[in-house]
Amino acid sequence: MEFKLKSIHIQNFKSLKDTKIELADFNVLVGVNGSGKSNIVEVFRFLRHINQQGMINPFLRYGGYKNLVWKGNEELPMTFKLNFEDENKEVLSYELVISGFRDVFKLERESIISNDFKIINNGKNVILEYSGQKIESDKLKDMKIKNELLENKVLFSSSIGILMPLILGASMDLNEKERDTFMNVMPTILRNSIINSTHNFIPANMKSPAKFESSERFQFVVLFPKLTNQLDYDGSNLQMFLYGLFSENKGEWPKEIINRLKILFPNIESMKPIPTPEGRVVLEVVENGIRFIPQSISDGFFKIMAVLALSFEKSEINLLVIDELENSIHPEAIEILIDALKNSGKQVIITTHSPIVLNVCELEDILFVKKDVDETKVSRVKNAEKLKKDLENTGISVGEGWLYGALE
Amino acid sequence: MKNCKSFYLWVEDRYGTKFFSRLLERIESKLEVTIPKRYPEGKFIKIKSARTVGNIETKIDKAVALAWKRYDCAIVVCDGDGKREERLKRLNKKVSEIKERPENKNKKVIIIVFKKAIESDWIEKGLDEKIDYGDKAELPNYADKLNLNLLKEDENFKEFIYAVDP
Repeated sequence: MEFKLKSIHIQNFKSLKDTKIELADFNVLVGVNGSGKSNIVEVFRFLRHINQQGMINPFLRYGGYKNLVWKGNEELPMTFKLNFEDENKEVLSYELVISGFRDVFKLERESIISNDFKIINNGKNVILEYSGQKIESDKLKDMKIKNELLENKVLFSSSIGILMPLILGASMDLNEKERDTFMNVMPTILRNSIINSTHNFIPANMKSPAKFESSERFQFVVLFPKLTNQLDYDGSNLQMFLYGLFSENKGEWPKEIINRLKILFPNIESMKPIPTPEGRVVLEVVENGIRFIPQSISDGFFKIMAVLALSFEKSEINLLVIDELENSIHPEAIEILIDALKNSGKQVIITTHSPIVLNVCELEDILFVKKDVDETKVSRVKNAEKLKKDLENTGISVGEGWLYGALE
Repeated sequence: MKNCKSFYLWVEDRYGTKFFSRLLERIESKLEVTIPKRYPEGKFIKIKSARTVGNIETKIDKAVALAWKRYDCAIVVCDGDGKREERLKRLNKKVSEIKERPENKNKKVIIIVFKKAIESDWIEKGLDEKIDYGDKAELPNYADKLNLNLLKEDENFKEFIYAVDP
């Protein structure tokens, strides 16, 4: 059964002091500047960052722990709790508690808990239980796992080195069904949360010819071979990402992308990512017989291409997070991009300040993000059916209703 | 439609605008109906999606009132989702309220509501086969494939042709 991220509960991360968010398949975060929308996006970027290959101190990128922890209070730990659920309401949870007093990274606690088993990592030992029974530690020792390999390590950051042997060791005593359940857990958590695709696109960066590799590294390519082709946070390797998509699709663009491009850019005759002798990729676009290089193409085109490619690429990533989707995009293109994201088969979280985005969404998709003194709080529309009727009767669209302050 | 030398066509979404743009070209070439001159863009024909401003139900009165400022006629096309009569009645009621204003006395509006949806009402009929409603972005491509002769007896299609024929 396919699990999806059902809710997140974050404590002490930036403005998210104690913030719970219930998630649906498509989620639109709205709120005033400084309400904490981008901090929610940053949660996913941080979870991805902390699991990068060779990560020793995840706080460096942020200029220290004090810039990440709530109100700069270094004595507080940060907690990330993710709950997953499948169609049969089976639940799975992942919790990570870390601290960083004086910028020293410390893993306080990490756990994966399902109906049948538990994996607890306390930063020194990893304890496994299946159906309430502890897996004997000597069996794990037989797997030649050295304690120093476990010390202060997040399970997924060194999954191949630590978690996989642990699971394999533990699974020796399990029957086939139990082993399958056990083995399914790690990819599920990874695909639906940790290895997410989080972005705040910078069109100027997207126009640069891309190198043949991404700036972010994961070990998970053993589990997920298609992870070698991932789009960077700001989209700076877009042209390489498109090359990967184009090549995987046997030198064609997926028809879901072509159908939408034909509507938005009817004069484009052809479009092809071309490798250069310098080891880069350049997207070449021919419109009305004229060949364009990326620098001559509009910002909106690159952003549209990025969202369409993310929607219809076939990698193992199930979670897309996009900050301020609407920047540089025409309203009619917004309509098509939202439709593409909704039809991507992936779980999507976007942030917006645009009433047009809200107009093309459902009331049930919207999450209101508010700053309550110095904490971010998130809520959904109450009684959406009644509100829909009220809006319709008064001739007000969802976006207008938001501007009037009538949705909450 | 007599005296309808320009029109504003309002459809549910952006895929619909592209579909109708292509369909008008085919109606002109295959059924020999003279569509109002299409260029320059926006002068005689405008096709717009309702989604970015809300939806047809909520905004029909405003869209039609604005259309009448610049075009001879307003044409509104939407799905009925199995409740055609009910929806048509509601939309007509909203439009009748603005039609009562003196400045709109001689203005024309045609509201076309499909029984269910365009896919089942026109596309399957025009292709004479069931289709798989996969990706909605495929919709404009069907405009080039329809056998328009198979639609000639469809009440909504007849009404549409009547509306776009000046």
